[in-house]
Amino acid sequence: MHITVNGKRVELEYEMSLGDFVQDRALKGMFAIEKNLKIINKEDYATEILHDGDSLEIVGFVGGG
Amino acid sequence: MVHNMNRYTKNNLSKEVQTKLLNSKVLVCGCGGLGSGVIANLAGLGVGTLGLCDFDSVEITNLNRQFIHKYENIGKYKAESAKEWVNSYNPDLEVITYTAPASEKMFPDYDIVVDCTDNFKTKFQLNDFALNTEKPLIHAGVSGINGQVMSIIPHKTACLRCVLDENQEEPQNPGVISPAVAAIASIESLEVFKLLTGEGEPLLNKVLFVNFKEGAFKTINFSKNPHCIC
Repeated sequence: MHITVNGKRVELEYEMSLGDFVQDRALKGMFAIEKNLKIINKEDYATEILHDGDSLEIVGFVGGG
Repeated sequence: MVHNMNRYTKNNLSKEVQTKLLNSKVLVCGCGGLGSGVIANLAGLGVGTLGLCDFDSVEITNLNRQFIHKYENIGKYKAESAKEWVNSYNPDLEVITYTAPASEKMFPDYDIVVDCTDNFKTKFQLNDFALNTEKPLIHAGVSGINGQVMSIIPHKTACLRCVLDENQEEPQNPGVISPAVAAIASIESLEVFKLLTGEGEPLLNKVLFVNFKEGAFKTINFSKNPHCIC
């Protein structure tokens, strides 16, 4: 299956939760994830399943001033 | 305080709006990179009272971007150094300095608080102070050539805790170049202007992300998180 991550096509071997995706990609830092134009709350990562054709936008926050 | 209104002619604002700015009080937390730009912009706009909060002192490594601090002020409290700049640029403004960490008891005296701090621990603290005192807060962060800005109306729009988990790892902050931090500071200043005057549409329930390398501006919509303390 394929999903789109920040505009780029990404292949996933199987459907997985957003939480597993975050762990799999070792995402670090302060970030938020929009799935199909809807922000997913952190509490819902484990139950939010990625399906073929989904689109993710991962945005990183920076803390300097 | 008597203001020379000629000074603001090129703001091209109605007398009513300009008077609103002159009667406004804004607390700027952090007088470093973001703070330099925000303080300069607010002084130019004619925000009548500026609270300047920073417990750090000016260091030579600040001078690549913190342009309101002069070389001869190295070693001085940034808040005091910033006050010097404001007084020399626009002596009509009232400036109150705090050379201690920002605290909740400072907030009630101001209409809006601007987060110009340089770490998430403090940013979350300011978020909570704003929630407790119901004061609007402008959040921003900048690093390298990336930055983000959002405005928060406590209990009404998404707050920092709605969009981020405090337990996430604090991102590295290796430094920032002057044009990037000045640009993010200008966007923060515009948010102050919009919230004080009611002109335009503030970044409420949304975060503006800027990637200067790619010249990309992206706005992501957020909403209040039902699990959030706000």
